[in-house]
Amino acid sequence: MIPKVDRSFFLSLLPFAAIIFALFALLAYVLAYESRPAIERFGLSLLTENVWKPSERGVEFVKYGLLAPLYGTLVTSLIAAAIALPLSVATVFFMEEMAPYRIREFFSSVIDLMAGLPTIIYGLWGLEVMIPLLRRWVMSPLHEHLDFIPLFACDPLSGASFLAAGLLLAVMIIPFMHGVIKEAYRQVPRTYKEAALSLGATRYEYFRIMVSLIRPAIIAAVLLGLGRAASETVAVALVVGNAFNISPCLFAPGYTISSLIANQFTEASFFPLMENVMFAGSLVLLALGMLFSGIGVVMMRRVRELYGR
Amino acid sequence: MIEEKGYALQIEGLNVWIRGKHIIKDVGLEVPKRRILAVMGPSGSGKSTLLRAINRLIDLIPESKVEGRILVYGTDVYSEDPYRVRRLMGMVFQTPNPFPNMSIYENVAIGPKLNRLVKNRDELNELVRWALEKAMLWDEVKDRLDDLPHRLSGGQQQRLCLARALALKPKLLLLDEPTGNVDPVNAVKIEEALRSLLRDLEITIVLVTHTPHQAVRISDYIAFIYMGELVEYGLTDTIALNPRHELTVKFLRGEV
Ligand SMILES: Nc1ncnc2c1ncn2[C@@H]1O[C@H](COP(=O)(O)OP(=O)(O)OP(=O)(O)O)[C@@H](O)[C@H]1O
Ligand SMILES: [Mg+2]
Repeated sequence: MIPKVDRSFFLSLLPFAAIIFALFALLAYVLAYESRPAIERFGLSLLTENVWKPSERGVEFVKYGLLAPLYGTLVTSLIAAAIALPLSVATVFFMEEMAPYRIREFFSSVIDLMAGLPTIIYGLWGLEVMIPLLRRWVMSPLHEHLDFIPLFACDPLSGASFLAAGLLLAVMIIPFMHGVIKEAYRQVPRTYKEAALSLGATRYEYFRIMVSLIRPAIIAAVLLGLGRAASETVAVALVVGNAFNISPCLFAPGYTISSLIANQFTEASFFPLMENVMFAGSLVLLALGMLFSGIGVVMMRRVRELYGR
Repeated sequence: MIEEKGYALQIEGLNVWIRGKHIIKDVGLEVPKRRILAVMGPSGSGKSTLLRAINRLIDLIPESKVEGRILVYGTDVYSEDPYRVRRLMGMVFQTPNPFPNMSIYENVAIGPKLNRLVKNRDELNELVRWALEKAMLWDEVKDRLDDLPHRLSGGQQQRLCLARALALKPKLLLLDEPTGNVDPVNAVKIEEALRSLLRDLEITIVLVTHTPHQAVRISDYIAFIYMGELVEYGLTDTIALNPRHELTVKFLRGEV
């Protein structure tokens, strides 16, 4: 029970908290409401088919299925997390264990800063700097020499592709994942580090023990990172190629749900049902995001329980 | 006894600074094999720092500096790889710190695994059991080896930490007030465990303790540290009967 003196203060804050929940509920409601016509018309095929046939002639001539952007969202997010995970863990370990104090604090701040940069900057950098380099030094050589592997089988036309988007997303979520893992790492009491070392652990063995001590936080970082990657919009729209394409080839252009919405929403009102389809897409994103964040938050709580602060 | 010949631990002219502060001042002492050295002294006098200098955990403390020589069973601690010298030693810390994410079994097994002391699962099981028995914990945990350690009482956790250290078959065992945060019953169990270790194994023990009674009960040698200086060192019987330094007298009476 809340003590009496605090109760009025508590009550005075209640409306603000309530507003946040109400806004969220409203948001979810609007998404669901606006998606409904599309869901009623296309049903599950909205998620299982890859078609994009807008028409100005009327509702009966249009057909939409979001499988390609859905596929693109998953593939690019997974590439991003797969690249970002080892890099963030390694960076945290290196900074916390090997770098001198001043350097550590400096780079930590720089990385935190990177997390807050406007994402359009990443997009432009990805388009102008990363893609040409990637195309010249990674995609073309891999395609030339290893084109019997399906991943590298297609010609990297412009360079805008699943791989480019995945890599750019990796760069964008590293600061974020690094932050989550670093916080957990710093929560591990020194006495466990000493215990591990007193057992004669080498640096590598010590690293493995430390990783096992923060495993829930690492899982959380991956899930939250995936959520971020899936919802990233503008930067991805610049480098993913924007094609309704489902291909195992990393160099092929594709789409993600977020970049699809960003690209097409302005024109969507000219075509029947297109807006509703996009709302349905964002509903999927919302569900995915809530799932990932939910598990992530539970994992973070486990860390806090273990090392209590 | 021939065992008496070599020393288990030799410290010569040891000085430790942390952030420019002189913490250990010119400490020198020698402990023969298979003996217990009790290190005593008021809070903040540098006892834990001395232990950390012996197994080089001091390397973890930024801006720390060590001068002097430490030999453990003839191995010069500061001219070897730290992880290699640490494998000669085991350490039990002031507060119980079993790894919270590993089962009771895993906590004991991790050391032998890291150090590749065993060839197969059976040997590992055998060693884990042996270590838990030596730490007088086996009977209490044999039916729940897969539980996480947070279910154990503080005293049981501390004995688990003792087992974890013993599983490495260390030649030198460093104990930092192992009974300081533990109830009397568990404290007695730990003392018993230490005595039986000395009977059965080639092992030497350095025990930091706050309790004069404990020191007198189980140690062969006593070192008394005050503000980083070794003010008194010798056989326990001699010091207990005839302390030379007035601080030792006060401490033994429980006045410091
Ligand atoms: N990591 C550290 N950073 C800075 N100073 C330290 C550090 N560790 C120890 N010291 C300093 O070294 C001195 C000795 O500390 P130490 O922990 O060795 O004392 P102690 O004899 O073990 O005390 P207690 O009986 O309270 O455990 C203290 O003045 C302490 O402030
Ligand atoms: Mg201490």
